[in-house]
Amino acid sequence: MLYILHLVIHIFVFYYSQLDETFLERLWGLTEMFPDTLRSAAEVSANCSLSVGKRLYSFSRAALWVGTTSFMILVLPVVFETERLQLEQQQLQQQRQVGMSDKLRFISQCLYMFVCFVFLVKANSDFQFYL
Amino acid sequence: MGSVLAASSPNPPGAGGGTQGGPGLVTVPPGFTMPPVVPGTPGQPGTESDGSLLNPGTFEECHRKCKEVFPIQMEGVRLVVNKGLSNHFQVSHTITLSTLGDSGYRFGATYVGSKQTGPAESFPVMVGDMDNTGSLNAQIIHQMTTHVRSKVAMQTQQHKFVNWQCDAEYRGDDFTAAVTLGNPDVLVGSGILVAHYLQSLSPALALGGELVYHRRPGEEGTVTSLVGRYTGSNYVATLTVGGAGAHASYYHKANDQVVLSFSPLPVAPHLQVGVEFESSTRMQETSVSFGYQVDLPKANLQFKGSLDSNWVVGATLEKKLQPLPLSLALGAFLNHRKNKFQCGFGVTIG
Repeated sequence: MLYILHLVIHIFVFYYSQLDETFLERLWGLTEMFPDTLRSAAEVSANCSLSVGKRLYSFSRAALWVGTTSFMILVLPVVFETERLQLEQQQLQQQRQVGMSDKLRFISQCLYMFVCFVFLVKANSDFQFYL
Repeated sequence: MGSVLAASSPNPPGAGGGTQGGPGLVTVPPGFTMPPVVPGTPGQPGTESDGSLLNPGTFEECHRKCKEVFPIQMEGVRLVVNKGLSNHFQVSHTITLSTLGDSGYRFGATYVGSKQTGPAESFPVMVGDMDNTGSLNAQIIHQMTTHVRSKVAMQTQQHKFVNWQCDAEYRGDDFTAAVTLGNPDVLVGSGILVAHYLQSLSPALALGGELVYHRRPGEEGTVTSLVGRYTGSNYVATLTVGGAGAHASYYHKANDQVVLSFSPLPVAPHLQVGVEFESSTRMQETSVSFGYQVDLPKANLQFKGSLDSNWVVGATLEKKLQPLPLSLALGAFLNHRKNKFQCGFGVTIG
């Protein structure tokens, strides 16, 4: 049994070594089983899709560049200026609404309390002096 | 041929001639064109109360409203100092630093006479400017009678005379006729004669024609063209058809309410739009351009952008820096087809 297997392997190797085909060529040879029309259609569609893919890629690159630079030149300055104007107007409105800021209010309240305290102390000392 | 005609300005001395230096001065547009009759909307025909027609303006001003919306190409650095010395006299200094051309200094002077013909107009007007290389541009505009206005202009390149022309314009009740004689040379027998006629047929419609006769020793030729202009409530459409090609332009001033609904601000930016179609038989090419102008008076900003069928994109931004009498202009032009970019900025003082 082993001898027969050995013989078969030798014959296979003998036949294989005599053929000048690589593995890929043998695989490609398998496609010959399909009819000619199908093979040519597949070839045409593959080439077509490859070229379309390349053109789409280069077109999208150019379109992105053209679009970005044109947008930068045509639209961006106006957008910057309108945003800045809007911000300034908002700030002005906020200032008018809020009135004094919190810190300023705190400080002015402290000052008021200090002035009242001083006045009371003076009144007290005057009263005692009067007494 | 275009540089000889009164329509185009071959060497504009920047914004120097166009700002106020005193209360009585006329804003004279730089270049070889006549100053506008009415400041604001020149050449806008309309009806008086009894229905008669108004003067249609000059021939060159037909396409001007659309052309003013487009930005001009700026290159390099430009500093302009305008100074008004009196009610009648104004002086401007311009320093141009350029990467492509020559850098130089230009001195310009404007004198406005005392014969007052209108609220913002006085004659005679003498405008001149001289380059650091000695090139001189000069023009004298004078109102001879109430209907006739004449102009003499000349331009030299260093010491050589390049352009010399004189023209006379008659403004009737509802028509304008002008005759221009350009570069007349009696010794050689050459010259260019241009005749313009513009008639307003209705308050909105004006038709006219132009005849150009040029003569050189050995050859002479004639080019004619017709122009029609229709003015609507907020748009102007003009068409010029002639031997040199066709030129159609449409100018539209967008309704402020419509723009307000699109703008993010509570204040509407003023939007003006212009579309231009040009075809030339000499160069065998056509082009379509789209331009727009956005005015933000609150931000003291004026922005002009343009888009061309030759794959050229350009924009100009002008901002007044308050409270100083300073004005900053930035410009950029990008040619996508040739992949060339040009930018420039300018500062105007006064």
